Amino acid sequence: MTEHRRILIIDDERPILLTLEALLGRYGYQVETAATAAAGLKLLKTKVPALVLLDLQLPDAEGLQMLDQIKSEFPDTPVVILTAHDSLNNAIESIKRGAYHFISKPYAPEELLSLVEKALEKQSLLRETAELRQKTEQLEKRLEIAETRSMPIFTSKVMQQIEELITAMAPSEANVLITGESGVGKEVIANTIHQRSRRASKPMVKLNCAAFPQTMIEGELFGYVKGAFTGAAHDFPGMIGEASGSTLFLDEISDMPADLQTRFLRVLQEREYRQLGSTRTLKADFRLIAATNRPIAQALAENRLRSDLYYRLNTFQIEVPPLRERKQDIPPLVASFVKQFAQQLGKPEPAIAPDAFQKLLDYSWPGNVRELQNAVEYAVVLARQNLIGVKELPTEVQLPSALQRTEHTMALRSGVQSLDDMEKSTILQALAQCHGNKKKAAELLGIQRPTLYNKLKRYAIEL
Amino acid sequence: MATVSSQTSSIDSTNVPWSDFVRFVRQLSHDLRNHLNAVELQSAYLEEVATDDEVKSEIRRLRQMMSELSAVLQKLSANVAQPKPNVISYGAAEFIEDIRRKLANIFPKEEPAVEWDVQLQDANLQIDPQLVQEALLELFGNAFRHQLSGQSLKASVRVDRDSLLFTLREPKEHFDLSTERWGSEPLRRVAQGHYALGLNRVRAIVESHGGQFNAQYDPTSGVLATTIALPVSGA
Repeated sequence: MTEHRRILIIDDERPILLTLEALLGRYGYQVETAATAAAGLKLLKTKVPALVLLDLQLPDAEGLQMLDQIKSEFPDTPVVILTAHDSLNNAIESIKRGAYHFISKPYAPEELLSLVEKALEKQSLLRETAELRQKTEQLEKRLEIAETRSMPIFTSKVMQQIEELITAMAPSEANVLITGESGVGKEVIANTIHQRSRRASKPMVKLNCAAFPQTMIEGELFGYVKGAFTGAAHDFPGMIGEASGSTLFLDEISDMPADLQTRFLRVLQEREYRQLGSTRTLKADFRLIAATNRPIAQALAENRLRSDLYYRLNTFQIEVPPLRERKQDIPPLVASFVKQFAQQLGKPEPAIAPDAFQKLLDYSWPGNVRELQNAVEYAVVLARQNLIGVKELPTEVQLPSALQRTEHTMALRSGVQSLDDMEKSTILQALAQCHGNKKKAAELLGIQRPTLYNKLKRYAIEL
Repeated sequence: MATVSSQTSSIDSTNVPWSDFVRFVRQLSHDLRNHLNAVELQSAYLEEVATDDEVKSEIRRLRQMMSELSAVLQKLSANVAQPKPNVISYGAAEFIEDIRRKLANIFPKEEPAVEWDVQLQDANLQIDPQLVQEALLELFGNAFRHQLSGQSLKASVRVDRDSLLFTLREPKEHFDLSTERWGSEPLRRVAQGHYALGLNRVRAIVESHGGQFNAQYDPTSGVLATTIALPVSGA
């Protein structure tokens, strides 16, 4: 017997209660009865039925008042009014107050059964609708999270300029080259361009050139026909084919083999290509967005990126600055990530303690937005009593800024350095390794603690 | 289930079978109630839009009148319909207890004048308690309406072999009707506000439970005794 067939009858007349109980019981309903309003409410509070049959004249309450109470405390439970008086006035009043229907005594059993069936059917549909609505809301939230993730979040001027550039050139068919350190959000920028382009109706096709062995990239990019090479067990359209009518995003393009760059350049020029093992020429209809985390000058100097391909790609170039150069973007990014991870974890959004927030602002974020995202996820998971404190941040973020190592500072260290610079760098490295513990750092460096203090003073290292 | 004899009889002048007549009455009643509902809804709307309290109050009275008219029509439909009992096992003592409570509720002035003689064992009835209660209420209602002598009504209930016998005794100085076909001749004595369908309904309800319904006037004692016999399942 399911909960969905439980009916509560509230009527002070025993013959009616018993007859209805027997009648409805015969049709598979689970019936509970109450002869007074008080008993009815008690049963309702114990276990909410799928339907209530309510007499309008009860010894201890006015039926309409009882109806009000039921609809106020159990708004989703349908109520069918039973009354000895065929008063349309009562009917209208009952319906106004939320009754599902109205039936006057004496009622035909068929009429009552039909009404009960309809009421429960409606109840079932409402329940189903509520479930679907809940699912839709969940999906909308997830979609919102996904969309938020794929949309750039910023307040910095430099990112605003990038946003303006995207708005202007996204609808065109022009190739775009996005540069920037790893984790700055190059793919997010590519997604935004695609979503604002005329090709947005189809999904963007992404190929990370660094993620495939060089021998496989060609097949992935151009596709192949069955038997083109050992292991080509079936036809594969390739990313160029997949991206037909859409956008092709080639990440880490400077990791594409040089000879393949030449071949790909030809595709860009002629807008035609051939799959591996095929003699058929196919039309290439994609918009290209490429990205690299290597400085362009370096990639060109090291011949990792062909200059002719670079010029072809470089119709629009977007250089996404590292996060440390646009710290104004940290607060909105943090807010967005906190919301995202709190929703994913089903937790309320935790607040961030001011000192923890300052740490987030001070940190140099060598891994850029991606590292910030991971740090916030870490913090949200560890958050206690709905608060992210310094202790909930990753160790690296907790360190004093002087001890933080970044790819940026490491890059500056390349080349010949003075002995003082090297000593300062080594001290910082030791302190960082010991999480700022000077005693341990001194031991690691093989010097006395007072010596370390002197050197810290000399090099103006403040912890 | 016994058949109500009147339902196979004919309407005199037009020779219309009773079943057709019932269909006609129910359809007419239904149509009229539809119209009444429309009028009622319209007057509900008028009541909503009226701003004058006196007008509102008058419209409410009008709505009450229409509701009563609708109730009369509904009762008419119910009275001519063939009862379809939803039979359950019901304690005879409980049934009498229910009817006495109901009478006190509906006829608070008249009910105290009823002298009850209840001799029931643990008998069980196989009845639709609502329908049988309706039948007994009709008998009491009639008796209260016609009780002009000021003498008490006597109601006795007892189990005799495999039957529950309910007898209502009404003192009547004169009674010139034949009780031979009591309740089998609907529409014979129509008067204002009285359609002579009540007894026919009582008979139909009793017979639909496999029971018997009859009445007898004793001129010597001046008492009209109306008896309902219903089968019992255990005594």
